[in-house]
Amino acid sequence: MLAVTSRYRCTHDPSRVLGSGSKMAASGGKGPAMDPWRIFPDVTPDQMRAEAERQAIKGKLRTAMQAKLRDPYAVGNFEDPALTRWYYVRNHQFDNFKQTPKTSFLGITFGVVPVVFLTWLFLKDRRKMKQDWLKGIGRNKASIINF
Amino acid sequence: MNHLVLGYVGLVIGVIVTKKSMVWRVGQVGSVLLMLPATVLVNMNMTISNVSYMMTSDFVSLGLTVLSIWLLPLMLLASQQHMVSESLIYQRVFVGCQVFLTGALVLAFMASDLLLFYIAFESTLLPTLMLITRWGAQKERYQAGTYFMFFTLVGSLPLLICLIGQYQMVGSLALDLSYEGVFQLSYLVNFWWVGCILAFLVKLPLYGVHLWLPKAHVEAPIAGSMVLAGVLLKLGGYGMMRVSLMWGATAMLSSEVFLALALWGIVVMGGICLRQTDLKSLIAYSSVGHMALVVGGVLTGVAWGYNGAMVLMIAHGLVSSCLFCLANLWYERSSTRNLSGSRGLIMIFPLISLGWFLMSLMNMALPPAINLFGELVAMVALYNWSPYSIVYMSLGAVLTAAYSLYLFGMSQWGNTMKNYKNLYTITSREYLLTTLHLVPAIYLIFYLGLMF
Repeated sequence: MLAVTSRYRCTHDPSRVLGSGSKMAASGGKGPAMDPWRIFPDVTPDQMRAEAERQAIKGKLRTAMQAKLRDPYAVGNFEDPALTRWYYVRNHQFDNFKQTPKTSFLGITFGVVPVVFLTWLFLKDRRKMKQDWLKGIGRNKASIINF
Repeated sequence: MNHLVLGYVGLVIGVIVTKKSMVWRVGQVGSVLLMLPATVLVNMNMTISNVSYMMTSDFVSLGLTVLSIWLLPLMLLASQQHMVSESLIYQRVFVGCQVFLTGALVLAFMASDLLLFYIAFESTLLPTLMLITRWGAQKERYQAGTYFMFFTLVGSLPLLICLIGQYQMVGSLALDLSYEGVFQLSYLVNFWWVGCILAFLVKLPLYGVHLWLPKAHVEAPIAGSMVLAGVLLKLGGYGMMRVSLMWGATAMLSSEVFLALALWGIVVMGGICLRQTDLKSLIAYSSVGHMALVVGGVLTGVAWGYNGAMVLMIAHGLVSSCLFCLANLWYERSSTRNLSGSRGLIMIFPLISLGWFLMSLMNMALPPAINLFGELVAMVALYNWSPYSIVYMSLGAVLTAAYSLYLFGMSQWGNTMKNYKNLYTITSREYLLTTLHLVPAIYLIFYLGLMF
């Protein structure tokens, strides 16, 4: 989508804005309220035309999907191929794994470091506990949850 | 209990030789009838007591044996729909696989000799592999079966070597005659201990070696998923408890690495579950998190740890199996396991939403469900083991609640998807399936003495 920075929101279809009308005037003879140069002042006509084409394609896709969805004679479930592709990508990330600096960093940070840290922490705590037991102290934790 | 295992052998033969219209009937009625001999198993002693010359039944094995016997008719009930169109010989092999699997599981849980347990442990692999690779739904089932087989085999080979070493040292592998700890001071004893428990850690699974589980659970048919989540994971926990007679002291001395993996695994699995788009995958990853707490409970070496692990295993077996049934319910109608593609189910199937609701609540250990008591007891044991574990356990519990609610909310609430045209009503078979999972889970709330 184009980043519309203008204060004015376009409430009508851009393809209609560029549609019929006088070809002589740059505004298409529509007046300032429907002049694309004034509604989206930071957007060139080429960008407007490209966006109108994209909206037309999406409109056709939407119409096709609605036709399949609302078909009263349809049998079986309606499958959206785009959704299927999206789910395939989500569920096959492991098969297409590639080692990069980013993945190495993530693996080490979330896989190796916590486990190593936890092992060290537990070893330290258990060693201290065993030494305390041998001295007869027991688990003497001076803390607010000591009971 | 020779006649219990022989009953399963007979049931396999019965399924193979009966006529076409009686195959499933024989399987289901026979599996229900085989619950009767299990009533003799009730033995609340913690000490091992013999039932026959090679089988034993005590408090530890009782719950899991009854669970595996209970799950067989449920597995058959759940698979009826998708097996309707298969040819007769495949139906016979399918039912025969499940019956053989349950027989091997009962043998494993009641074995009084570690080598018999090992043989039964390995023999559960083959029927499960057949279930996954033949009757799974997608082509990824081959890789899933390979992962499942090879992870377990590689893990259990050291177990065989260490059992043979134990046999040479002790002279017998009978459970009655295990040493009460091995009092050698050399560092080598740690490798022996790791060799013994590695198979069970892979089976449970522990976080670092859990890769086979999501693949196997997702690609398996419903019967395979139920038995995997319900009982096969518990083989690992049970095995660890059995070898703890010999290795309990070593576990208390040198289990920091495995407990670190397990505790971090609970947190990581909670996070992964929140990011899943596949319904079955979410339930599979949640199994890893729950079993990590079982690992924690067993490796502490104290009685509370074992008790908590036992209750957790029974509770998780019922809950996870039911969740897979409910997910399969939806999968059979919509051919999709996508979480965001299955919204608003409470409006379409309101009564089975009760099943989803109760099972999601039990999955996140809401009181008074038995999952809570298992978790609480295991957490207390782990806190006693080291206070620093409370951080990871509480984070894990919060994330467990988060993804359980996420699962229920994403599947049941929201606007109903309009693109599914094949939604026939929930059959009484499926209601019965859910009820038969819920009834023991709720009954155990009132009679937790069965576990403790």
